[in-house]
Amino acid sequence: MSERPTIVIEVRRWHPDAEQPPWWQAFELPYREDQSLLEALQHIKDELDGSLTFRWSCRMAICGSCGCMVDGRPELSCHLLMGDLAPGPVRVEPLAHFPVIRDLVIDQQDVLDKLPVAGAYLVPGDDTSATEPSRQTPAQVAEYAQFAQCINCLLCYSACPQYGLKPDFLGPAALALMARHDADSRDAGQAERREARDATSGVWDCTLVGHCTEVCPQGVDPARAINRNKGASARDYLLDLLLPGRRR
Amino acid sequence: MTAQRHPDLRVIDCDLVVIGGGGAGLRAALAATVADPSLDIVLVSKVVPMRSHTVAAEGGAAAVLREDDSFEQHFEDTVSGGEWLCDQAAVEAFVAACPRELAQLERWGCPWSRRDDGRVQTRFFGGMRVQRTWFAADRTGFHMLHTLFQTSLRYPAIRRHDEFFCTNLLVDEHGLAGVLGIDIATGHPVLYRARAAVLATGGAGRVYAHNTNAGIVTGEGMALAARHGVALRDMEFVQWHPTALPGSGILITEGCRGEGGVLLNAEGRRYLEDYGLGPLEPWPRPRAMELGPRDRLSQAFWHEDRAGRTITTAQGNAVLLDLRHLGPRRLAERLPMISEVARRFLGIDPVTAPIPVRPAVHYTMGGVATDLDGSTTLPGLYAAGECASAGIHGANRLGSNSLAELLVFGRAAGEAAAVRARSAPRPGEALAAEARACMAPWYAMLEAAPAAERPRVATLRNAMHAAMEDGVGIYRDAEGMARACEALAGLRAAYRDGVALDDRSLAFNTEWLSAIELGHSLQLAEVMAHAALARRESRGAHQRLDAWRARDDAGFLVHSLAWCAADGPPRIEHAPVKLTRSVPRERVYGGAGERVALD
Amino acid sequence: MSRPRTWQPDMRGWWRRDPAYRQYLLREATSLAIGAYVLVLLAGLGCLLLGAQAWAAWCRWVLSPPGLVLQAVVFAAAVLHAVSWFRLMPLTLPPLGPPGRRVADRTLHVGAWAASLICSAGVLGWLVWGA
Repeated sequence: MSERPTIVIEVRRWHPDAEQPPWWQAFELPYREDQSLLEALQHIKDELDGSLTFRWSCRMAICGSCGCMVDGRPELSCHLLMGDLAPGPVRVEPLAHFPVIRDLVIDQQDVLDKLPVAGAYLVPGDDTSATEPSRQTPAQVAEYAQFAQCINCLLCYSACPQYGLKPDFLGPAALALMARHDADSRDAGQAERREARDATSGVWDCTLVGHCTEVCPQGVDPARAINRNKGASARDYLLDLLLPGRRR
Repeated sequence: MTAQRHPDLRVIDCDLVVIGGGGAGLRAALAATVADPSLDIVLVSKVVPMRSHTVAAEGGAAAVLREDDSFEQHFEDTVSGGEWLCDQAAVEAFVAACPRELAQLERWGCPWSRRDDGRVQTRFFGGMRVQRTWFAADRTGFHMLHTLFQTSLRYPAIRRHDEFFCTNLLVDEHGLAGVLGIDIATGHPVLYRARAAVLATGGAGRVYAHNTNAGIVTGEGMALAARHGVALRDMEFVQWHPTALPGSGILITEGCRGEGGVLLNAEGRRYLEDYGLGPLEPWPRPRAMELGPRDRLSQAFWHEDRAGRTITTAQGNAVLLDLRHLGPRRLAERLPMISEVARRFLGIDPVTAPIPVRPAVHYTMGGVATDLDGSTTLPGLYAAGECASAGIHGANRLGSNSLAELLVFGRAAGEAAAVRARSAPRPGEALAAEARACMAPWYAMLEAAPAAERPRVATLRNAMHAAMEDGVGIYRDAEGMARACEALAGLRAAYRDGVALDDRSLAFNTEWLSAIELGHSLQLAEVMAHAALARRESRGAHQRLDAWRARDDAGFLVHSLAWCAADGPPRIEHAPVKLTRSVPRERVYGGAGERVALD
Repeated sequence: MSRPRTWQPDMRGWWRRDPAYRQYLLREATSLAIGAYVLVLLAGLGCLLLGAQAWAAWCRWVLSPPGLVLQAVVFAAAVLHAVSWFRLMPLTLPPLGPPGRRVADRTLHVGAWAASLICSAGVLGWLVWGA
């Protein structure tokens, strides 16, 4: 058996019981070119240090569990191949802008709480007791399909300095899901979502850094979703001003 | 970092606990709150719901939609696909409920792929007479799960406790009384006192090394129910999906073949015609060649591999899934995720090159035996989805029946549990004391000193994988299965002696949780091996190479029922299958047929 | 459920973390240069109102080395702003064209540059030949 090459992975660690700020720990381990970074982290946990803590599940970039900062950039660890990271060292940190629970595990509660605020669900318009599927043409699906690919992996929140600076900001994913439902021909919830959209913490906290779109592993383009809604927000503000009584 | 001893138990009263936030759990919670908005429902899940394994389902969900289809045909495809081991009353109820459930999901916002006129598009899956699979490109499970999750946000009566690891079901003289577990972030114990619970914890595919399943699919829900004397049914029937990536086991959807993809061996031959799925022409036609059922396709691979007609990859032998003739547009429209997976993980563009694939464990066809309303033999405990055995899959599940199943039976279980939650008497105060006693062994795992000779979690897990792959594979024989039984008994004994944990702290201790999961997985693996050994025939996904190579309807048209013991092996019994209108006959695929257009 | 103890993130020096952030800040900073040029033009307008002498002084300053440097900086900033803004502009527009046949980002991008160059050429032409 030929000797496999090794690589150094440096992980930023933290534990709530340790009375100290985060620290770096380096692990040297054998790797294969076609192995994912997630598999390398699993190797560390299985063989070298069982206390290294991270989330993972599907291994194929659809569950959104394994986000972390890799060499300073938000990534899904299952989505990176060691061959592309070699020769290393690779620096792995918890997702930026989130409180850390332990090692690479961040507290995602804030974003989960924002999803209902953003109205990230379809509000059925017509007869909800209907047992037949409604019709929607491929062109109508295409209006929201891109925004519907969001896996809630939170990479966009780690890419967004506005979220880091202003934690009230609803943020890229929640606002993309707002736009996704606003753009769905079956939806009747636009009025419900307006307040959250028009608030400062809604679309207007976005300064179009645009990095959210660059790091999105699913090509959702939250920057487009948000900035489109700025136009809609401004339009509604103007129409309300010009036509008092327009808004109930 | 060592644990504090016995953190305080937090006790919370509610009406109904749903365990598991995947498709079945979310559907159950939604059904319960719609049926009775006054219910206080808690949805607990060891991951945030949208991380659940439903998310990874790709190809689609079955329901009669087209005018040339019928409940009768869906029934026939399912029952013959399951080689007559299906409970036919369950299948009848299931196929009749599927269209309503998928339409409900549409009304909640699921972005189904559409025809030009706006109607829902369907595609073929293996073993189907008619195009019956509704799909959302090749991310159907993802879209279904997110639709259910997003819809659940509209119902504040569903309280979520994400990242709650369920360790025990508590029972009193009236039946289920509480759900006990660990708040993962803090490591503290929490007891939910409730009169009804829905288990929706998914399958146990992770007992095998090579599988398409997410890391969370470790099966503890089944083991928790089994500990209270609930039978596990048909656990020997494990589905190998014929097309997964070598090594990682990442799923390459059956939808690829539903869209016209073909399988080639190392000689470039469409080898399935040699395994009772041909002739090749006219092609495409339903229930033939690549549109055959999963068990037959995975078994055909096994023979090809034995005959040396597979290609060698760095991660094991494979055949080739050729999608090139579909063209870039159709691949982008219908199979975008598969295309991305092939590019990202293999560096292969399916537009220009075939994808190497091989079978991998995909689905646990058995599970907690339930009635049509999800009820189990333990009053107050319901089960739905992959952890349950409602009886519709038989010896081989048809692709796209499971996504429909989790809706149909998730809803049924949620509604039945809602009624129970209202009517049963409140659990008593004594439950908290019992909960503290139940938690003690879990916390003791953290306190035990790491003995040098104790095995690591990964060591035992790898040994379990090896035993299952070796003895309870696509083809089985008595010797191999007995070997697996023995190995697993040894591993369970080693586990009881204690595993070495590096991490003995409380906060987000995933090593500890994976050790608890491992105990459950070992028990389920042992159940699978024993149930397989006891089935002295070959049927569906259970194929033997020894004296019992044929199907035996006289002796084995029966479900297996496994009763678990705390330490020893399970007791296996058999119970008759409920037939209604389809008389068992030879299971035939391929043969003559009409060429169909794939639109 | 009780919240776990956490380590709070820190935003100090956040712009150093990623080149994308520095590009963003540079893009935003171009508005300072544009703003400065607005002040210069306003000053010119004020000088025009004050009379010929003031106007001539302003014209001299505009053509002096510091004035030319400022204008070069402003011009560079304006070009940078145009480059970055035209790249982002498609993101800010509502979908144009009928559903299913939306105008592509590239078309919008090229269109914005074409419009900008035509206008610039028009102004330049007017300055050289028209005035």
